[in-house]
Amino acid sequence: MSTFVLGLRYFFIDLVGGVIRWPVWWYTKGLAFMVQMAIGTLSGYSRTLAIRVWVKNIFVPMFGMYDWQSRIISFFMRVAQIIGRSIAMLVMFILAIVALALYVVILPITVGLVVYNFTGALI
Amino acid sequence: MSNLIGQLDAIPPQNASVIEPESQDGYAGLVIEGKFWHWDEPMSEPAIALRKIRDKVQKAINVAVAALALGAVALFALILTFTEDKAEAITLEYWVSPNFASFAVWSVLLCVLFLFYRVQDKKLRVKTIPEHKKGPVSEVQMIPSLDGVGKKENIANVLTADARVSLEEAYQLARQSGQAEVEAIHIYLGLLSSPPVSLLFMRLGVTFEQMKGALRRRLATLPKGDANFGLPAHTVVTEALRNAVEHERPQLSAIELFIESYNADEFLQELMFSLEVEKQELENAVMWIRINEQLQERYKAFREAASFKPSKNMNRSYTAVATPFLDKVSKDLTRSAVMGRLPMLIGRDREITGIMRAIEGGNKSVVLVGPHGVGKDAVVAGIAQLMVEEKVPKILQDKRLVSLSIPHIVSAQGGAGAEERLLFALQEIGRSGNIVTVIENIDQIVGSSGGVDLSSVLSSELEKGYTFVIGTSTPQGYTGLIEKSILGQRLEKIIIDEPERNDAIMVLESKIGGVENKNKVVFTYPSVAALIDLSTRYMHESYLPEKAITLAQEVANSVARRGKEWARVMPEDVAAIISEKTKIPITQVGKEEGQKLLNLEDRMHERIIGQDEAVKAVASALRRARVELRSKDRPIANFLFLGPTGVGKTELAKTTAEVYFGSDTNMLRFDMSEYQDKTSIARLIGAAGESGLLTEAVRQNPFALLLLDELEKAHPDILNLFLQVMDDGRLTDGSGRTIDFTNVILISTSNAGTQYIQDAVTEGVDVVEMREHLMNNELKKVYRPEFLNRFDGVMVFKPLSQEDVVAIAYLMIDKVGKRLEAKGISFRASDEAVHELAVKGYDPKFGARPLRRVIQDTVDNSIAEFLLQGKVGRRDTLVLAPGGEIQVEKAAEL
Repeated sequence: MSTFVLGLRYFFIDLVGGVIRWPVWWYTKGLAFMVQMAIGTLSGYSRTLAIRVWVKNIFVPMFGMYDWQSRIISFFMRVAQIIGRSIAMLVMFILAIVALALYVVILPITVGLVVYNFTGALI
Repeated sequence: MSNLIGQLDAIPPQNASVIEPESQDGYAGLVIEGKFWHWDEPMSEPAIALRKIRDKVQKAINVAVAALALGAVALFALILTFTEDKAEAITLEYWVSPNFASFAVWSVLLCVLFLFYRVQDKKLRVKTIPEHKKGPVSEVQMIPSLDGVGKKENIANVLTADARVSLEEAYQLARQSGQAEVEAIHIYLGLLSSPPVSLLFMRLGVTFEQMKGALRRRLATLPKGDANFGLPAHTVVTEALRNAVEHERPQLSAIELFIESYNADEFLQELMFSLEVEKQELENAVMWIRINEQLQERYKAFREAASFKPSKNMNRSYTAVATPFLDKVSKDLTRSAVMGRLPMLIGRDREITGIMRAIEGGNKSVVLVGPHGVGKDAVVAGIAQLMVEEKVPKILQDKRLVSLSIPHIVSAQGGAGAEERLLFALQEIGRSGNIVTVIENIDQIVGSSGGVDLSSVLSSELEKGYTFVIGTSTPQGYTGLIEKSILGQRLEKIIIDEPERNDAIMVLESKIGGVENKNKVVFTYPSVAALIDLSTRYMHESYLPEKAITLAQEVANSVARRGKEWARVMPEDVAAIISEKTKIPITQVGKEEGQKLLNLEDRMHERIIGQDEAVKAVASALRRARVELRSKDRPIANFLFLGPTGVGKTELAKTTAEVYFGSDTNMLRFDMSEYQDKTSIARLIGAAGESGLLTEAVRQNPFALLLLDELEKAHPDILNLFLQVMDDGRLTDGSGRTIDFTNVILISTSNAGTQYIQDAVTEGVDVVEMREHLMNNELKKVYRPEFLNRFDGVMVFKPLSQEDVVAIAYLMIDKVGKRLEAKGISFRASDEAVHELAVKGYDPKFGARPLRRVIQDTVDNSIAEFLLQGKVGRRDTLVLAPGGEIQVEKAAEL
């Protein structure tokens, strides 16, 4: 068999095989990869926000000011920071979930819309 | 490569027998983390073709899908162009109802998703070599069968693309040459065109042309048959995997295959050896290729970690206090590290561990002690980087490393109030709570700045225990200033030594890229090794790796100035620069110089009359030295010249200085009669803070002839000093510096045994016998036997005969002529006149020494009178006639 024919054969075999494997990959390996990406992004973000450091130091005065007024101000400042940072973290979490959800639905929706528009436009 | 196969294939096989490919007769494998890794993939012509086709098909599919997406975009644009009511296209209704425009848009997205799947799937399929966790990596095993083996893995899955292509090339080469087995040599050849290996050969300065002939002859001797990718090849690949595991490589690359093919075949080792590449050198060159990859990987990981480190003064928990004063007199090293401004640290694991242990163990301050240029600052930069990555003990976590600048503190207000300023800076450090202080050259605060001792301020603050410092100092600074001060008790000494040769090569390899890019030159590995080796040998004033890095810049600059871009830097270029700096001839001996060296005796006899034995011995020593056949940790040669005065001992020393060191001014002459008492040792080698006459002279002129006149008159302790020089080639001066004597020729002259020599010559005793007697009797009275044994040669200078003195008189008259030549006057002497001078100037007791005075009195004085009286002018000739009379032959009028 000539190289060209062999190549052509593999082209179709691989293409068809690839298309068949696609949805399977999308919801197994692909999904796992996306989840990993989301976790990685979230953990990096949580490291940047450092909420745990703030919680751990909640009673430690900020900027090395140890008088009682500063201690009180610090405490409230830290509480505010923790709340603010937690909200930011929550927003990131929601964004990650939305992104994952989008990943899950995008493939069937796209296929569906391609078919819908093609058949609909023909009819 | 195909060209290569063609070239190698042209030779018909010799004494090669045809053998049939055998079935697999065993399996080579490596156990990593409980799995048995072995080669499990067919290697045959169809299999290679198939893989190539499938590779192309995979690419073709991606291209086709991308084209499809572009088609859909074009379709969308077309539809939009031909839509009559364009306003309709932006309504929701248009997009909700099915149409071709929507179809095109969604098709584009579908294609993009498909491409994402294909690309990501391919990336996820790439397997990496598992990390080996503990203990040494196991050896490669040979097993007869795979039955009973538990979990198996295929090595082929972790090959890089380059490595795979190279193995296929190796197979093709064996097949096309009709050889029975794919062996290490085929893999070696297959690898030559892979990018990392060709880079390696470029670095080694070896070309394929140099190896071609030998490889071709070797291939012709291999057994014939149908190429089989069997056990020998599997073994090489498995060993390469082991090498990759050992070096924590993520994949098996061409480099590992190359090293292991080299290790597997003695012929290849021999071949490389013949091209001046030894095993250690090859490993260092490989390290060079790897180190750049590793630095990139490390840098990537570091950048990722750095993104989490605060680059402001504040720590992550916001407990730190602002340090406005400190910021003015310091530099934040962690911030510089975060911004990528500090160099990556190579090696030094032991030192870093020591520092961390000292800090973690006792919250103790440390001082890094090492000579300038060994990399103390690099170690500090390394600590800053570890702090950025937070790979440090808890006490250093979430802290800043700040380098306090003592000059800034001292120089303000003319030095007044320096103590307060230091105290203030230290208190800010204490208050901030997130600062670790670095003080470079910490010895400069001891007893400095007009009577104010900053070290007591620092040590009392350190005693309070609220902070600690990392200081740096030189060994002299440490022993001279810190050790005895109160501060010394607060600091734990960590020694930073000059790196070992291979470590220094690695550091240099990591730095050379910058030098290469700046000067647009390329360093070969031999030139890098030469930078280290030659600077170690000839430049003792500075230390590795800095001196080698500075030298590399100079060499690169000089090569770049030749005009050719990306010219290769060879070891000869390094040698040339060092020669220029030290005035020591270390470049290879050229043809002309070789000839000169071979005729050294003749050249020396132009100045020395007689004394054939001594001249020959000196000439031989010089020849040995120039072709590097001498011992490198001793002076070039140690000679003892014995004989009466005025027989040419000093003259021979001068001649030696002229022929070997370029001029007789390159002679350091010490009259040892001036050093007769014990106290004169200090004059020779100096004392603390004072340089010695001998050591300083040799330090500034390391490549010279050292002449010790009348050695027997020196104090016996001074002889012991020279015993060390002759033995080790070095001497430590009064301030603790090691002075290198390995590039001097040491000549001592002695009048000991003169009377015996004179008597023996009169009696006609043979020179060898004379020397024996001198060594065993006369000299033993003056020198200790171990001292005499250190000399490479003891030369006996015979008293001069009347004929010798006549010859010397001719030489001296020639010199007079040369002096007059400069004034445009010719000079000649009749033979009778010269003989007359020789008779007058000869004294059996003083040899030829009176001759100089006689010539001065009779010849020079008369000439001076003629000149002053104006009796002789330019173009005239002076003639010395018998009786010391001088006549003027006037030149013809013009």
